[in-house]
Amino acid sequence: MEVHISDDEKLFLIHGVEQDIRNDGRACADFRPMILERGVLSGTNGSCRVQLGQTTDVLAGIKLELEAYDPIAEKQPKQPMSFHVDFSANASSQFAGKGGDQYGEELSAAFQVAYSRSLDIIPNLSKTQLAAGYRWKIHVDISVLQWAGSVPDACSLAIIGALSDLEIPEVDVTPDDGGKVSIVLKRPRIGGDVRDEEVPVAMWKLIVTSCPMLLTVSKIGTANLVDCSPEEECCIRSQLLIGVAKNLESTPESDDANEYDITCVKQHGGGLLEMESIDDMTKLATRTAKGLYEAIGNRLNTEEKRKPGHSFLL
Amino acid sequence: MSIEISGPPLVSPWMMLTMSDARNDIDKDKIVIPGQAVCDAPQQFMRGHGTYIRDGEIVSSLSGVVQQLNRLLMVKTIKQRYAGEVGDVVVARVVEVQAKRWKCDVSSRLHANLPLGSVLLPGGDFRRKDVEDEEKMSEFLKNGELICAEVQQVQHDGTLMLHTRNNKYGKLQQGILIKVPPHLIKKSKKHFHTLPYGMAVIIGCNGNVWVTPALPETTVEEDGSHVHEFQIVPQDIRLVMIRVAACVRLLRDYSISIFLNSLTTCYEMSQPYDIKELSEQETSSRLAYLITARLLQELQQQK
Amino acid sequence: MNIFANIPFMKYLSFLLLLFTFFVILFIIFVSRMPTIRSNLSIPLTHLNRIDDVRMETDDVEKRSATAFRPLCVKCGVFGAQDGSGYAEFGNTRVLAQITGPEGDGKWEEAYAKVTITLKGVENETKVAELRADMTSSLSAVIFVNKYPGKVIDIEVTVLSDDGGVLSTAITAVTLALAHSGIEHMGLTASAHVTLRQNGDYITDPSTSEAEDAIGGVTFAFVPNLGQTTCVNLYGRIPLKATSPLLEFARQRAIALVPAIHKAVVNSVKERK
Repeated sequence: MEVHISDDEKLFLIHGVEQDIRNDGRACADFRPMILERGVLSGTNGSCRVQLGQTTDVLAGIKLELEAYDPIAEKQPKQPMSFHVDFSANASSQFAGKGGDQYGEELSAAFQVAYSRSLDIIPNLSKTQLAAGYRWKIHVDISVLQWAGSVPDACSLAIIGALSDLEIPEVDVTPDDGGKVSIVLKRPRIGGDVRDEEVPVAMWKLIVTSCPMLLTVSKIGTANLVDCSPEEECCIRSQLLIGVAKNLESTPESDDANEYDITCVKQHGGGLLEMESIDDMTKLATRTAKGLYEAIGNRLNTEEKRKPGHSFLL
Repeated sequence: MSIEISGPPLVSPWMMLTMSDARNDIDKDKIVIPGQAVCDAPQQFMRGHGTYIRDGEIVSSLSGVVQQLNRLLMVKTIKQRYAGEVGDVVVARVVEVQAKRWKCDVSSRLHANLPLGSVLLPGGDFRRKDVEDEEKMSEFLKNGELICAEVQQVQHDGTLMLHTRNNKYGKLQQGILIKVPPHLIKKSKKHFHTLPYGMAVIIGCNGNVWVTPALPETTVEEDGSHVHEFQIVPQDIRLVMIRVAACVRLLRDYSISIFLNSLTTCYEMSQPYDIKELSEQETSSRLAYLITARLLQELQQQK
Repeated sequence: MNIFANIPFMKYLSFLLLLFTFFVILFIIFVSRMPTIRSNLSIPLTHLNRIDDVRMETDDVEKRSATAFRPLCVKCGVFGAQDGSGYAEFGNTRVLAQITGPEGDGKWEEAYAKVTITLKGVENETKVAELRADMTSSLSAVIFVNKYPGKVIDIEVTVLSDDGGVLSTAITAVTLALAHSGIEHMGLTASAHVTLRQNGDYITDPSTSEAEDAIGGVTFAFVPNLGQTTCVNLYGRIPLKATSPLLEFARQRAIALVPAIHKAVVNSVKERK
């Protein structure tokens, strides 16, 4: 979104954030109110929509694919998720045509890096490896419908929401002729004279309590901010994209420093940065991630199933 | 650190307002949609803005409310770009410095013009503007800077001519700009208000509301540049300004017209809440409901 | 008693010998701390496909210490036709950078220069996007873009061969090309790639095979004369506690590279004279 503000307005804003007062009354580490709802797209295996501060709006959808790969060529199991971020021309006219492609590719690449070790981080993700040569491929597609700052943060929440909404079918793997395997959907027998095809397929879900998040931490003046509004994004001196993941193996009593792993740090959009700032900004990202894990956990637990037939835009 | 993730709102702002009495003052029959006949007896009326004639009938070309001025029928729509009128106070942003004039964005259909001759330059009112002044134009007002001006003239294509030939107009310095739809601004005699909380607000007719520590008093130095105020706005005034800005946003989100009274009412009633709470759905909808009720009550008392 | 004590000349010689060995030891210590620099530049343009594995498997490369870089070669100014060019080689990773501009393209009209990066020789599209984002961010921080309004600076980066650490090699190549091009910028950028093993060991500038068992790594670029960072690219899964020491280690390694880059730039200026 193109926002032009004058130098004096910038000055006012910068003085403000240095006093920990932002133009909408928030403190530097505060997020705008967020809305998260799941199951918004019936055509996907899992979906989620996140709205941040009533304006930034992203939609994430997941499609599953049974993928055959060459087990000899790939000795190390590859992580099964692939990300694609698409900037809609609705978000800003500068994304019309191919305008958003470059930024979308960069953000997808950042998510790819943040999730590169997800097989170690998400406890039951290795279950997507069905047999030698077969696995579930998880395609995550994110669409940015409206842009008013901190899109990566909204996207990572939408990804976590969609992953928690994702239902993966249970399968039976049986050896077949010629060293191959046959993969059949698992339908638990419930007795009675129901035909096999009518029995619902058993599903399982991913454990998302430790999914990596990609957060933006921006430096304005001497202050570090999370969740910048478009006006604040005009004043950014430099920005870091920080991927944080919870370490489930650590004991909860230990201090914060043990509880979190950093999966990605990227300097973004130019600008110079002091060495010490990187450390401070990483710490702020970890603190924010802690709050976000808590908030999203609460929301996912209390969310009620949406009524069928209701469009998410209402 | 506050992080809150909730579900989608169960009640939208619009539903909230229809439940209150605030929107009952409009006569349902007067609302027209494009293509609908505006009146029954077309011979007696003349067609005005937002209408056209088809088969001898006056038909609306906009969706909005029918307004009648003697024999003139026009349709006033709710959502429209700002159409200026002479004498309006506007808050505008400079988008281009051209020869002898500035182009300003006033969220109208066309960019407005501010001619070099219509600004107050150092050395008094009646000084001739020479070539030197022309060269110094971008020193005086740069791209992206905000000004407060009055509409001097509306040209036939709708271009607005602005002027700042008064000490109260001119360049705006530190502050917060909030954009609201122009129809929410209630026209009044005064658009500059110094509020009793130690700060000031300019309600531009074009929908730009400017919240500032103090009203601009154009202090032009001899060298032609504005005095720059780099000093930090004190924390207490800043907090008041941010609260007022939050109030303007609240009024905007719930389509309550913005004028001195609604703003101060909103400010007073928002006192029990934290500033950041004002952008939360639950607080704001409750507050909006109370404010409309209060304003309606005051209106009835005046009658 | 010293048998040479009675012969004054021999006594003097023994003293000299001692002094000499002392200097040799000093020299060895000094050299071992410096990155190994290959002085013979040979851009393998004619045999791009043949990666020189024999040279890489010599003992001094395989058994280098945790702080040593792979044998490197840097050159400022390779071609005459472009506005600027540079070449960097770390082990088997070789990157060539060419700069065209600043020149107007008839479309760009902002009050600052647009920096565009074209990457060649990298297959994976995600990788291309990532490299491009990191390099654009790093470069636009150092170039005085405000001095070239309405101009476009096009940087073409060709990855000739990739054996780990492409980003740091590419940033080094581009900084040399920038120094060659005469575009005003704040200072040279030094960049290093470091990985972290499970047991807490660091590896400086690892090749692809060396980085296999790493739990994560970082590419760090900074401008030594400003002391400011222009690019951080951390990946893998690194405990919060370990990130700060890792970054500091990477910074130390990048500093070690400064003399080599400095020398390359000075040499190119001398050549042109």
